[in-house]
Amino acid sequence: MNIAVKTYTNVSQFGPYADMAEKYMAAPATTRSYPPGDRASYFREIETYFGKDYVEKLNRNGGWVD
Amino acid sequence: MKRKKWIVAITAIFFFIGSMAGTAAAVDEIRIGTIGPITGWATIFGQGCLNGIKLALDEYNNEFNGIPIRVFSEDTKADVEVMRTKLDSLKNRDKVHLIIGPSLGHEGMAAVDWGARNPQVPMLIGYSAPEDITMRKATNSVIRPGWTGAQVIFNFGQYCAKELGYKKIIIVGQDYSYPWDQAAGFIRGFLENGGEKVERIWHPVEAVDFSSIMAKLMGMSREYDAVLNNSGGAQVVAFFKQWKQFGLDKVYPQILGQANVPIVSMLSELGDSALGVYSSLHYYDGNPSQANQMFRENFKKKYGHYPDVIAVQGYDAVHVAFKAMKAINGQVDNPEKFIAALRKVQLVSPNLHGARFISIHSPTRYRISTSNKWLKRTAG
Repeated sequence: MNIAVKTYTNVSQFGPYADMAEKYMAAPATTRSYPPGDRASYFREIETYFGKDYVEKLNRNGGWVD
Repeated sequence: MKRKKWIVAITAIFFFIGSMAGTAAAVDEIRIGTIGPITGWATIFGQGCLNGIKLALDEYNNEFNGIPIRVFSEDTKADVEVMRTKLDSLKNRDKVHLIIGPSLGHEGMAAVDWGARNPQVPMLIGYSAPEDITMRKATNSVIRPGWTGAQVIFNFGQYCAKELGYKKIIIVGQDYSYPWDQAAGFIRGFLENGGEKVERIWHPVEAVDFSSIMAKLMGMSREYDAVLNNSGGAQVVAFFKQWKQFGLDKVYPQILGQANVPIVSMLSELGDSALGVYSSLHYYDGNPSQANQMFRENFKKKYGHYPDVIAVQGYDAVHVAFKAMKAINGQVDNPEKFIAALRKVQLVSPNLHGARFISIHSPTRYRISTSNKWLKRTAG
């Protein structure tokens, strides 16, 4: 039987990008190799679609703020 | 004067009754089509969804306001070409008012294309989870009463990076759209929260011999922290078995699992080899809520085993359909009206601890039980 060890609430189909859904959909659709799997390439990619501010915020906070 | 008032009153009643009749259901049966893999490697996904649909219909005595409900079930055999033909049959031969399904990723992407060409047939997606069904390819008649593959795993990536402290992960999965979505959601959550690298290894959908992959994983164990198995069904069972045979349980802390790894239908198949697996999903069978316990027991009474999230999706889809039918007084022969009503439904599933129905481009939200750690094996 499964038990919940941690619960995240209010997760939309856009996940953490719910307030920038249009930007999320402007990025390429998922493929077997997209998005990139290494941090440097991935951050370059999201900067293109989500903007420099988003990346700076991630770096400043060490990730998403719950 | 008094007589005139009576005539006015009777006329008003006549018109009221007449107007009610005009909005009431005009069909003598409600025809629901179901579509998904009932045979082949993905049977658990199609049959599970169908079982949930039938259980929910039982709760309504298979009727709506006295109108009998007739179900037409079609088997896709997990083949998209077969599915297209069956969808045409449901529309043209069976003249269904609603289709529930399909249940696989590649089927869902093909179904949304079919839906765009057949906008008069409302479709409630079953267990199929590619996000573009309701994102880049969204079309009015195709509605998702469930989840997306990435949606339930974004936070699992975050959890693995932040709570488990992993930096480098290997994902091994079946090479088709659903595992790609799961991998993408995980990668986003993992890399944006401190993870450094995710390596993806894809294998053919029906592969059961993982010896070359196991050898590769052994060689990568010095660099990577953990392995995430990103498959479903028989491939998971084979992977877990060979994982132990090749001694990988000695070099990695545990297998992480995508959403379909520790679902109920897999538990008895995996046995103790899956103890301690971390995964994430919007439903977990251990949910102690009364509604979930009732759902589980009713399902077991009907089918002889406990349900999993696949059945929940079929079950919820029927409840969404009934809410919409209620809103339009059963006028399912008016597809525009039916689709509009379906898109407005807000359903709090009793099984998903507060999850809400997702409508196209106006998504409401789920609680994700990220990291369902399977601690105790049940009879499954």
